Amino acid sequence: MSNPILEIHDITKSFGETAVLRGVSLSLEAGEFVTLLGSSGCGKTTLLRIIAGLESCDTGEVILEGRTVTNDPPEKRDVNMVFQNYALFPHMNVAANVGYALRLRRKSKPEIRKAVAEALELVRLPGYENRMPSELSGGQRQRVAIARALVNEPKVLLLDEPLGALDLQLRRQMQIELKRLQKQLGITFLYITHDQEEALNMSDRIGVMKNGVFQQLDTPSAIYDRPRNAYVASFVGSANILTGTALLREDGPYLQYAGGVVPVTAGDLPVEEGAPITAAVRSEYIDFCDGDCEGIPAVVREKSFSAGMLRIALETGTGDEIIASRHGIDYSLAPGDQVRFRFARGHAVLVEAQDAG
Amino acid sequence: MQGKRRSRGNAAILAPMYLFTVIFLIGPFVYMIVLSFLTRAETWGIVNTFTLRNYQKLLEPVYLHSFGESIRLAVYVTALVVLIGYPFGYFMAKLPPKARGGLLLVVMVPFYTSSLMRLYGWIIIFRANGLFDRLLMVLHLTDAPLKLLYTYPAVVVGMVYALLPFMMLSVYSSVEKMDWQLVEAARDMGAPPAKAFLTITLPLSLPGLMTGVTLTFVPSMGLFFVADILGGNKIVLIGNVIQEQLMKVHDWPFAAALSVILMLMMSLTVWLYRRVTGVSEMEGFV
Repeated sequence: MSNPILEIHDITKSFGETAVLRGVSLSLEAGEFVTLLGSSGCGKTTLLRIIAGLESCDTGEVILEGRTVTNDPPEKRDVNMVFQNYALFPHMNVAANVGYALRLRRKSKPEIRKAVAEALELVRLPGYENRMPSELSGGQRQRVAIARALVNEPKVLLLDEPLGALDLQLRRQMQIELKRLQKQLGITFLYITHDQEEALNMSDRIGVMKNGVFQQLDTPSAIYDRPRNAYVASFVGSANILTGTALLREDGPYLQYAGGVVPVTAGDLPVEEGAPITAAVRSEYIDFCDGDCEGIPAVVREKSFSAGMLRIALETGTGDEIIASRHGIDYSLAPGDQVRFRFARGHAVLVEAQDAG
Repeated sequence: MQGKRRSRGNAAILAPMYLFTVIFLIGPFVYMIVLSFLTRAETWGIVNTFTLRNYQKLLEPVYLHSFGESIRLAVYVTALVVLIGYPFGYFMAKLPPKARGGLLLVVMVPFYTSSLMRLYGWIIIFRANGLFDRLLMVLHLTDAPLKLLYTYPAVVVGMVYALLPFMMLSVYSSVEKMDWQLVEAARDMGAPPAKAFLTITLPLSLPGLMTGVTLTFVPSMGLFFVADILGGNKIVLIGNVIQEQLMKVHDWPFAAALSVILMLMMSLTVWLYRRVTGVSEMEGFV
C-alpha cells in the first residue's frame, strides 16, 4: 500500500447512551471511490460528519495526508462535503454559491469567474451562473452542490447520499456522471448510500456498515460473491439465508436444511460434521427439481412479475421464506404447488450467522 | 365559470372585513387628511375653509426641532434595540426547545401588563435616590445620586425597554427558521464561525432584523407617553406635540397635519423595509 490520503483509526462516537460508531477504521488511497453502505442509523453519516469536522469523535483519529486533523475545525480540513439536501445558500445565485470558497480564500474576481465557469462546465451546467437555487430543478441543484464542493479542489470529497432525493432515472444518470467526474478529476470520493445497486455500480471498494462497525470492507465483487456474514449477504443483493447443519461427503460439504440436502461452498470458514452452519444463496441460482431429488421441499406461496423477472416466494417446512427468481414467465408453477429446490455447488456460500461487532 | 362563482362567494364572505376596514381604518384616515386642510375656528372646533396654513406652520423652527428630535431619538433607540435584541433573539432560537419556551414566556409576560404601569416602575428605579442610584452607590461607582429621572437617557431606556420585545421576537422567528446545515456547509467550504455568521446567518435573518427595525423605529417616533412620564416636559417629541395640539391647544387641523406627516414618515420606513428585504410581509407578525 502506498501513502493513504485519508486514514481513520478506531473511531468511536456515542450520542448519550447510544453508541453510534464502535471502532471504525478505514484507509483511502488517492483517487479511490469508496462507498459506505448501510441502512439508516448504521452510523455512516456520523462517520462522514466526523471526517468533515462537523461532529467530534469520542476516541480515534482522523489523518488527512499524514496530518492528524481530529481536533481541527471543518474550515481547516482539506475535505469538502456534498450534503444530502444540497445545502445551497438560498440568498446567493449559482455563481456566488460555487465561488463561495474561492471568495473566502481572497482569489481575484477574474480567477473566481473562470473557476466557477469551469466547475459548471464540469457538471454540465454552463451558463447557469445567474440563476438562483430556487429556480433550479432537484438534479440541477445537485450538480451545483457538486460543483461548489469540487471548485475547492478537496483532497477527499465526501458525499452524503447525494442522489437520495432524485427520481430513479435521474439517479442512474447521475451515477454515471459522478463516476465520470471522479475518474476525470482523480479526486478521492467517500460516498454514502443505502442503495446497494448504487454502491455496486460506482465503487472501487464498499464498506457495509451495521451497528456502528464495518461488517465487511471489500471490493464490490468480493462483497457480492463472498459475503462475510448473513447480514452482508442479505443486504447486498438480497440473498436467501439458510441455517442448518453440516454434512460432509466425499465431494465436499453439504447443508442439511428443512428436510433436504444441498451442496455448499465453505470458503474460509471451517466446517465440521453436524455443526450448525449458515449459507447464503441468491434468488437467481435457485433451481427446481423432480420429486425424488435431494432438494429442499417447499410450497409455492406467491408469484409476481417485475422488470423482466419472475419472482417466486416459497415457504419451507421450517416456515422460512425463500425467494427464487427467473427470467421470463414460468407457467408451470402455481401458488400451492409442492416443489423441491436446490442449487449447484458454488452458488451457495457459507457465511457467519452473527453480525460483526 | 367556476372561478367566477367562487370569487363571488369569496366577496360575500369578505364583505364584513371590507366594511370593517372602510369604517375603522380608511374612514378615519381620510377624515384626518381632510381635517389637515381645514381652518381652526376662533373659539372652538373647525371651519370648513380650505387652507395650507397647517402645513406651513409645520416649518416653524419649534416643530422642525421636534421632528428632528424624534428622528434622533428613534435612531438611538433603534440602534440600541438592534444591539441588544438581535443577539438575544438569536441565542433564544438556538436554545433547546424546552428552555426556549420558558424564555419566550418571560419575554411575552410584560405584554400582558399595562405598559403605563411598567413605565411607572421605571420611575421608581430612576428617581433620585431610587433603586438605580442606590445600587450604584452601594457598588461605589458613584458618590452622589445621578438623578436620572426626567433626563434624556431615561427616555431612551424607557423606549428601548418598551420596544425591545418586538426586535427579540422578530429576530427569533427569523433565526428559528434557519437551516443550520447551510452554516455547516459554509464552515465546510472554509469559513471560520464569524465569517459564516456574516455571510450566511445574518443575510438569511435580515428579514427578521428589518421587521424589528421597522417595528422599533416607527413607533419610537410616536411614543409620546414615554417621553412624558420619564422625560418630564423636557423632551418634546412629535407625538407629544400632536397630543398637546389636540388635547390642550385644541388645534385639531394642525394636529391632523402633524399626524399626516408622521404617517408619511412611517410609510417611508415601511417602504424602505420592503426595498431592502424584498419581502412584503412583516416576518413573524403578519
